[in-house]
Amino acid sequence: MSIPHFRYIAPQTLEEAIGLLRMAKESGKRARVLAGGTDLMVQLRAHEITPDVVIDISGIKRLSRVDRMGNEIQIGPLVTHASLATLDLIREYAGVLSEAARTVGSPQIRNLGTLGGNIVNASPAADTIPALVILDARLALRGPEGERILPITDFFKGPYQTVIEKDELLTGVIIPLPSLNGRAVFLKLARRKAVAIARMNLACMLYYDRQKEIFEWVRLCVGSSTPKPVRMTQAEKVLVGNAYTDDVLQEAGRAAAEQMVALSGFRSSTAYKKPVVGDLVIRAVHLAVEKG
Amino acid sequence: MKNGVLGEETLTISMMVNGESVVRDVPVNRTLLSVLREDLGLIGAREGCGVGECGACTVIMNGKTVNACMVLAPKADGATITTIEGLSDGEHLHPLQEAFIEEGAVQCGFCTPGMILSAKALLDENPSPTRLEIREGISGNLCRCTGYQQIVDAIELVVNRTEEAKA
Amino acid sequence: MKNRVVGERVARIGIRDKVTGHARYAADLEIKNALVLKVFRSPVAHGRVKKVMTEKAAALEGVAGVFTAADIPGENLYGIINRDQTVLASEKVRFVGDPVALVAAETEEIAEAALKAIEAEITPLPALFDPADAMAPDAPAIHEKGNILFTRKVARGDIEKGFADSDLIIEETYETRMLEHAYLEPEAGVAYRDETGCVVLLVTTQNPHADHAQLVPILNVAPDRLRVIQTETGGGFGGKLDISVQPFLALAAYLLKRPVRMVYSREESFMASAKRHPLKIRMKTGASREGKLLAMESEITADTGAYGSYGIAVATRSAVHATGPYNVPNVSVISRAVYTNNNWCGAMRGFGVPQIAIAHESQMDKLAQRLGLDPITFRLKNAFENGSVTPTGQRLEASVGIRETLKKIRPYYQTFRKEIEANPSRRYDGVRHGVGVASMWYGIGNTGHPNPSSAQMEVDRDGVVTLYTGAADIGQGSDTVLVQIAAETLGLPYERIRLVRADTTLTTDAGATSASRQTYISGRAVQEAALEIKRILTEKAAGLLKVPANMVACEDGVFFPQFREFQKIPFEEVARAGLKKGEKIRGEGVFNPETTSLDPETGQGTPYSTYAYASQVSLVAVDEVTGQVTVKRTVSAHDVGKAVNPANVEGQIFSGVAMGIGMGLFEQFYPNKTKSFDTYLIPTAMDMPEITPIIIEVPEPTGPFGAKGVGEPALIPTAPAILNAVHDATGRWVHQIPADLETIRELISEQEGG
Repeated sequence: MSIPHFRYIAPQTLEEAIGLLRMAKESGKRARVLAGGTDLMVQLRAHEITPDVVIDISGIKRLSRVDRMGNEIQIGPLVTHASLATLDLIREYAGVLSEAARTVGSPQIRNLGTLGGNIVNASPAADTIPALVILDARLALRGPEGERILPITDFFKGPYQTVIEKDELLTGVIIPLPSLNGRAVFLKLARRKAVAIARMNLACMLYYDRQKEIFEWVRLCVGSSTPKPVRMTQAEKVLVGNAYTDDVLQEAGRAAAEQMVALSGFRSSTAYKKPVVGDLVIRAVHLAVEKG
Repeated sequence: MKNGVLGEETLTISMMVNGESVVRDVPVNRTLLSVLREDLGLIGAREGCGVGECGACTVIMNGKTVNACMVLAPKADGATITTIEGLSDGEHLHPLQEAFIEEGAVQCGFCTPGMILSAKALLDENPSPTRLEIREGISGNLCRCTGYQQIVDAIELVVNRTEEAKA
Repeated sequence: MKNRVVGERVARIGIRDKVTGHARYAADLEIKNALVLKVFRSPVAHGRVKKVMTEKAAALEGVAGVFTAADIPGENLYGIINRDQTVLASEKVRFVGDPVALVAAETEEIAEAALKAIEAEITPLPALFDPADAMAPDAPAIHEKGNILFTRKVARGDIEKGFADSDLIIEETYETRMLEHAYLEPEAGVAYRDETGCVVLLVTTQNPHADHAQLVPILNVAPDRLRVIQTETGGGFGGKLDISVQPFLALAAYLLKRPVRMVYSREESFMASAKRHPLKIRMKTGASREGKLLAMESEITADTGAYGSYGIAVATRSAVHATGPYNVPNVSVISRAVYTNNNWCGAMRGFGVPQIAIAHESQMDKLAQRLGLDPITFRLKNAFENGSVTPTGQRLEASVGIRETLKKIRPYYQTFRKEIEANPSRRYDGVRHGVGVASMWYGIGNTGHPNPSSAQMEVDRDGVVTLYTGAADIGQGSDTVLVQIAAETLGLPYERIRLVRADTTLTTDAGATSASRQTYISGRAVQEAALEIKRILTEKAAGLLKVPANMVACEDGVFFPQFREFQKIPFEEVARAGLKKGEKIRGEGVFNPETTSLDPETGQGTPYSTYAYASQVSLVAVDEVTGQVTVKRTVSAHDVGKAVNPANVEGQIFSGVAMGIGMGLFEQFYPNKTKSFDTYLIPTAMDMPEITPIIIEVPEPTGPFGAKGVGEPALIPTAPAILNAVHDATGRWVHQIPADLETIRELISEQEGG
């Protein structure tokens, strides 16, 4: 199966890249941004997309950086899943993102695929997104008019749909350093143990005060279950201020399941996902509390 | 940008492939896999699916394993690439190749080059993996013939031999 | 005398080329100026072909030819057992993917453009996707002769009395799904005409001689005008028994007189190739209070999809094996293969036996539980032994190792039990462990049909021994095993034998690489060929050594009198002495295992001359939250008669367990939906447990050095052992595969609900 014809260009600076995107937009050309290529190559092979021009941003060095800036970590969109899984800075301050990245695809895919690609492709099953949501990540988008920064949850419109403009580029993922000694857990459920798309994935971060015996704060996000990634606020509310008891956990599980159904409606997969999402929330909360 | 048209249809790419410098003009819509196979005759990288799921086209690019079917040829410009053909000089086999023979870790052989390259990249990074880490390391290489056990045995054999040699 | 080569873990033939990447599969063959072939396929599941307009495609620059059914010189019909499949659809299409037109072009891109330029006028007909609908009296006929391809009956004893005498009867319906072989190498080949005009086809295949036999009438040429050569083959599992790219390549090379090549993409391979038959099995089993099986009745329906392929074999094998390896005096089975408009189903590792084993092994565990017997004890009470009579009335005379396999796994079964008891599930872990057992039997070779193999050997002046075999090594290792048998028989080192294989001009028919038959049948043919040479050379050596022939031995390539070992003559010297005088130093071996055809009403007869047996135990973990089943350990004991190469036998066992885990837990092919490996999931290294293989050797007197077969047996007990372990873990029986997340979670929820 041959790949459709297109032109290829590899800008070396961000300004150049945005200029190219703007030019393509103005001249009505279909442009596609190439980062790791693990999604784009599949779409090209299937002729699902037939771009006029492919803009390869992998030469823009600053997009591959990971920096700590004050109380934030800034992750370049070209950072690969393999790097997210192994970099000390990420492991220390955004361990749940490391864990999520480790479950993406295969070693080969993790070596190519990038965080930015995972976000912009906007698959509901993307593994890094629930982790980013509970880390309160923000995304930096750069276009001809300058930069805008928005919370990750505002980025998605629906499955495979985002608010990014044709002449915008994702230039950074900003993660505030976590406070209050939160404990985080990432769970991935798939049909097999490797190289598998998530049937569901779940990121959870919380702080349980053992003295007061209450959940101080909880953040939960379940992927592959809602049209766009959201916090499981109903379940969070059930937990916060309450003690770690069987009743509370069960109630939180039910709340998560109900919120999922409210957001997604009844689908063929709901019969399975509804009870499982509740039980997975319970499992994740339990594991996070057990972490100390 | 030339004549108001964005980008190129053909590019000259240079790579170090198995220690040799290679320069080729290639249409930009080709994959690294097709360049290796069709232009360079390196047939050890194979197309099993073309969508990055099976690992039969695994090569080592800049020290990391990649699916060559997922790499657009221009992205390989400037890269250092090792294919299975680069692992032995024809006379002396790589220890992994020896071990695969000894353990009978090969049946149809279609996945074998990719499997060996994934094993090499794993051992380069972690010279003493556990069996589970070995399994993780080759999890991106599908094999339908062997059930993987003799492959894991072969990689473990290399690990043990390396450790014995050190001791 | 101790064996020197047979029974040894010699390195596989060709393995060096495989680890260095130099092995050339069909897609790797260099062929100058070859045209690229592509097929235009039906977009509808069932339809009448009105018109195929190829003019626009043919007019494209770089298109060398566009062919339709009208261009086929001979018969537009093929099929391995029953001929019902067209090379290019002439009147009807019967599944999404049925070939309609063939394009030959200078490049892949041009060929793809040509496909887009073809317009086919196909009037859709009502399509049937469920065998039950296809069997309805008023169902539209997919094939002229009706929708029931074949019915196999097996009847023995008095079934009604059997159930009347039973103290306990269990009845259940089991369902299995359509599966894809998922060999890593997609179908590929090249073809050209040699200087004499003969069409030479190099192709990935499990059976070059059958390919040849099917292609000759399509091309309408004399048999010697076509030569089929098997290339290095990247796995088959039954999926490369049917012809795929072969007719397209042969046709285009023949008509265009230019070299051609064709390589299926994974997507095309999935769409166009055979699948495993999904089976619906109703099974009713009766036993006495004491734990003796008394009666088994079964009704089996196999969806063979659009074409017959090996559907008849699947219907027959599933019926013949339906009791499992147990004495059951009263049996009644009816098994049907039914046409639908799904992807066509053919041979896949085990021909219906992996499916039927799910039914009989679940029944065994259900009975054992009700009788209060552990699963191994219950199986041992009923397992075959020498002298047992099978449901087809065959008396088993030798090599019945089923009891041995059960006894060998028993200690592991007990260990796993103790491990589970020692590690109760913790709060919120949600993991339950279970241990499960399953057994199987499998007839080696084709069912109730003659299926001979032949082989030749010759020795040249330099003492080089050449073995000619038509057997296709598809990765399982028949090359190695056949050479081991030849070397052992002749008393030569393994390396001294040169192999010529699977070329219809140079070798004679060895039959298919299927039905786990090559070691047993071709191995025996090779042994016979080698024995003939041995006889010739031993006599020659006796003359040279001036001793009686019965005193002469040959070891490591040296002839010597048994009582005077210092007096030695090298093998090549003996050969040369004969060849100089113009004597023939050739051997030919033919072996056809004894079988009889089965009675059409009762299935009575001798379907196979020998059977392989196996038992397996698996320890699984069931996540009660997600429904995910993980196989933690597997022990698999196989009676193979004789392990000619234990490393190869173990390789088959590991392989079979892997395929069985996929089959049992997550593999499922959805017609028109499953496109590639992204949605058709086969096990990765992470999905596999550590496996303990146990080889049991109860010699088969007619097999070479006692050998039988293991390729398919390796798979068969795996899925049923997993399902039985899931029951052990959860208390719920699983009646359909795959036992995927949804299935298991639902079963557990039902239990919780009441």
